[in-house]
Parts: sequence; C-alpha cells; structure tokens
Amino acid sequence: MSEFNFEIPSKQSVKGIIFLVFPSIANTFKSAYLPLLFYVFQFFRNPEQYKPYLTHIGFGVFTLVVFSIIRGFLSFKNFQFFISNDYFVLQKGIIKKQRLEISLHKIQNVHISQNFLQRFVGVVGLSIDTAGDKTTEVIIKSLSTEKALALKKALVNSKNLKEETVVNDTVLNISFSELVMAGLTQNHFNSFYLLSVIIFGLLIDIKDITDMFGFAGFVENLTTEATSGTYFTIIIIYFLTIIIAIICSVIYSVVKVMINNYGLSVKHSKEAIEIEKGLFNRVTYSLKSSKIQSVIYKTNRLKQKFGMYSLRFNQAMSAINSNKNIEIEGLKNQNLKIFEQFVFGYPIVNRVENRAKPDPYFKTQLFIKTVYLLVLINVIAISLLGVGFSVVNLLLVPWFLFLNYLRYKKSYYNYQKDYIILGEGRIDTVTNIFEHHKIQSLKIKQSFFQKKREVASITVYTASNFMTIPSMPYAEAIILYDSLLWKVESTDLDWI
Amino acid sequence: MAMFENESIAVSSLSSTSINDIVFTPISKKYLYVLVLNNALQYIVLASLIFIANYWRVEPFIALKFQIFVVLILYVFLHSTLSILEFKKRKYALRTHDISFKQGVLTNSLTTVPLSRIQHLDITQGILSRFFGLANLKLFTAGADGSDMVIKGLLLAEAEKLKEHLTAQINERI
Repeated sequence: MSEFNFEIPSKQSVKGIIFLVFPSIANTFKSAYLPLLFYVFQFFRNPEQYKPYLTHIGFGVFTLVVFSIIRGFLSFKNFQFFISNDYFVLQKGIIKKQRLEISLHKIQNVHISQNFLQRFVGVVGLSIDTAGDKTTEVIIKSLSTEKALALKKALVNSKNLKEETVVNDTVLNISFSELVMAGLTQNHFNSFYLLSVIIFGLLIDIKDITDMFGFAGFVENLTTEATSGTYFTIIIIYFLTIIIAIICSVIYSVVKVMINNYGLSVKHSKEAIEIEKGLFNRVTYSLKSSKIQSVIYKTNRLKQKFGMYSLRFNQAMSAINSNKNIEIEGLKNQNLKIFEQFVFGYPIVNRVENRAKPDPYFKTQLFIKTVYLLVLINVIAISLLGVGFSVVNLLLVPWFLFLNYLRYKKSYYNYQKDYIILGEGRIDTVTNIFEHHKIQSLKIKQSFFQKKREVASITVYTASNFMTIPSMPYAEAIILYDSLLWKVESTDLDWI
Repeated sequence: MAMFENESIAVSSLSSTSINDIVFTPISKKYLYVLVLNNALQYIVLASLIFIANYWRVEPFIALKFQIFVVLILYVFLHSTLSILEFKKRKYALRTHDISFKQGVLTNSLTTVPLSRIQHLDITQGILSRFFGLANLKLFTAGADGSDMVIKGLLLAEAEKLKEHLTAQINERI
C-alpha cells in the first residue's frame, strides 16, 4: 500500500514527546497546586517565617518536573499501536499496562485535527470514534501528516466510510447583539445560585483577604453595622447587597454566554453540520445527524417575549467526551426549523397540541421532595449559622412552592408517530425531543405509594441521556411502554 | 374455483402481548443462599466493628452503646427481611424482540432492553456464586448510565444458554 506498515507496532512522532511531557508536568502541578498556593500565600503574608523553606520547596518543584519529564518520556516509549486481524490494537501505560482492541467494524469515524501547538511542531492528532462503547477512547496526539492519513486510510478502508464532505454553506450567523440579548434573557437565578455558593464559600476567607490588602476591620465594621446599626443603615446595607448580587448575576450570565458563543456560525452540508464558536477558545464541532440522540430547546418567560431559544444537541458517546453535548445560544423560532430539518429530516409540528399532563400525584411527590430539601437545608444552615437562619424560610418556602408549581405546570409528554416530546423545567421551559428509534432501553417504576395511587413513571434511556416521564396513571403508562417498545422493535432504523 | 376461506383470527395474535401479560421466570432459588451468606458477612463485619469499638472504648460509642445496639438490631432485621422478600421479586422474561427484568419490593421496577439495542454481553461469577453454580448475566447497551441490565443468580447453564441465544441475535443484525 504505502510506505507505512501498520501490522508492526509503531510509536507516535518523536516530535510529539512534548505533548506527553507537557500534560504530564501540568498534571503533576494540578495535583500539587493547593499546597504550593498555600505556601505562596503564606510567603507573602509572612516572608521571614517561610524563607528558610524556600530551598526545600524549590527542590521539591524541581523533582516534580524531572519526575514528570521522565513519566512523559516513558509513556511515549510505551505507547504503541498496530493493526492485526481486523483489530486496531493500542498498548500504553508505564506501570499499569493497558491494551485496547477495537474491531475495525466498530470504528465510526477517524478524525485528523491540528491545533495551534500541533501546527507549531508540525504534527497532527488523530482520534478514533467508536460506536457506543464507553471504554474505548483513542487519541493519538502526534503523528506526521502522511502517517496519519495512511493510518486513517487503513482503518477506514475496511468499512468504506464515506469521505467527510467539505462544508461551505453558512446557514446561520448569530450576531453580537443577538448574543447580548440571549445573555440578558438568561435564567439569572442559575448564575445567582452559583455566585451565592462561591461567595458563601469565600466568606470565611474574605476577612483574611481584606486584612491582607490593608482593609483590616472592613468586614467587622460592615457586619457590626449590619446587625447593630440603625434601621436605616441595615436596610441600606441589605438593599445594596441585593442590588450588587443581581448586577453580578446578570453580568456573569452575559459574560458566560459571550465567552462560549461569540461569533457563532453554523455551516451545513448534507451529512454534517459544523458549529464554530467561542471567544478565547474557538472550537469547531462537526455533528452528524445520525449521532444526535436528542434535541433540547430551552426558553423562559423573558426569552419567550423575544421569541428566543437556546438549543442543545445530545450526542452519543464519542471519543472526546467533552464534546458530547453542544449548546447554541440566541436562536429564533424560525431557526429551530433548520435544525429540525437537519436532525430529523422533517419539521417538528404540533408541539403544543396532544400534551398529556402527569397525574396530580406528581404534585404530592414534588411537595414531599421539597419538604426533605427544606429540612436538610435548615438542619445544615441552623447548625452552621444559628437559629437566626429560620427567618430565611419566610422567603425559601414560598419560593420552593412557586418552583414546584412551575415544575408541574411545565410537565407533559407528547407522543407522536415518530418521536416523543417531553416538557419539563421550572424557571426554564425545557422541551426534549427524541425519535423512538433512539431509545436504548426503558424502565417503568412504581414506588409503594405510587402503587396505592395506581400511577407509575417511565424512564427512557438513549445513548446520550435519560429522561423520566413522571407519574401517570398505571394503565396509561403500560400502553405507552408497550407502544414505545413496539416502535423500537418494529423499526429497521438504527440508533446511530 | 378455490374454496372461500374465512378462518377466525384471535385478536391477541394481531398485536404483540403487553408487557403486563407476559410470564416472568424467577431466578434460581439457590441465589437465596448467596444473598443470605452475603448478608451474614456484612453483619459479621458490623458486629466486629462494634466489638472493636467496645474493646478500645471509643468515646461517642460507649455513651450511646444501647441506642447503637438497638438501631443495629433493627437494621439487621429489616435488611434481612427485605432482601428475602426482594429475592422473590427478581424475575426475567425473554421475548422474540426484547428481554425484561423485574425487581424491587418497596419500589417495583421493570426494565426492558430491545435485543436490537444490545451492544455486548458478559457472564460474571463471584466466589459464592461459583460455589453454588450460579452466574450473573450482564447486558450492555449504548445507553446512558443505568440503562444496562444485570440479571443476577441464574444457573450457569441457563445464563450461558441465554447468552448464546442473545449473541446469535446480535450477530444476525450485523
């Protein structure tokens, strides 16, 4: 065939050692960064006391680097691959030897890519996509271009995979203003929760930090002022805190959407869709419609006013797990049609009609869960913050009840000829859509209490996620279960 | 001219049977021994922990000795009763196009995997299972976590037969 014989074991390109050494160093530091950070922190605080340890620390860091370099080099030496008897075999590992065998039939796709660093060194990376297997993950980080192409040919030839078609046709560009809009209409409660957790976690350290930067006593003043000042100052302080929290949440949402989605463009060919986005880390995803297992639309009250949606593709497991689920922001209702046509081959109609609501017992279930959650929150918070926390329940209880109300209101399922639509969400209105033939397995569940009420819930598993249709009358559940099974088993359509 | 025929057709033969109407096969009775022995082992570990705590006079334990003892007795009683009741509920059923597994006392669950969605199969045997000639059959799908099916406590021969049958079905697909 070519000058490469893949039947004898071969290694990666020698230039690629750096791709093994660098991550190795990075990994080592990742696991050692906390003590290091602690030392640096302490050093700035109290240089005199910690200076004597400098040489020890320096020596430690040096050893770590040498150790990582050796580890990287050894993992390069032990990384071998070859093809034998219709199997692609990969051997790696220094102490724990690993041997991966992939049947060539199972290979879905072979990607060759080159990131900035790889371009700099003059090598390419190769990754192998297998169907559905969770354990196989093959990424070869550095190969010469010729060798990578030859390997791809050797892997792909056995199965006559179609060459990936080049895409050029831009279908959609999301403009800057549309993204700002999407950011502003985000579910800010999520940002608020996240920020609250971070701030709560930092609260203990804030005092130290303000002290360190010369604002000694700032926190004490504020807290004494907040607890013992006049009513006016107390109200001002709480009011300001809330305003700042809201502003921070909104800014956080907008910035997050911006960073992840800046310059979003969607290109489209017959078989694949290519999505490019990101501000600092520009990423390109190539999606094949057959690999997409389900589609999720998200909107909320505010977004709905402007007819805006965000979209999420859930893909089947692939070699690069982080790219499994892909989200796009700032879409309009009519844009969704483009994606429906691409993913399903037909537009999704009657999203609103034929909605079957869950049994009212679902409300009871939600209520019981909320009670558990409230008890848990109270037990933890009161033991940490004191009895004063119980006042917060005045806000917490109605808020949770309101969320439950929304959760019930937004729950439904909609069984259609080829697909099923599942509604859920609280602040967000979430619409899950998946085709029957994407189902991997089904589960029907009935707790002791559900049995008494003659209701049951069904969980549907696809290769990317699972979805639960909450309590519905038992007879109805059995009919749905049977017909979903019948749909999967009577079709020739494969899930990938 | 051919005779005009109008045979009666049973309505039930037109549509596939409902999951509710199929007959489930219980797993091997011997699996109860495995369960009981496994439980006994767990209780022995717990008991020895108590013994050690008592021997070394671990502080909070000594003070709450009686309460802990009562809770443990209750736990052992409930756990052993539940696992025996639960054992009786473990049943499976094979149909032309799918395989189902039922289990649970407090919460009943029924999982069905269409044969066309099975990725691969595995037979495993623990030490105790091997002693009693039992095996576990694992069915892997491409589905998200929790979609795989494990049928524990089949007779080895039964498990192998099942696996053979299912493997044949999978290979037919390719």
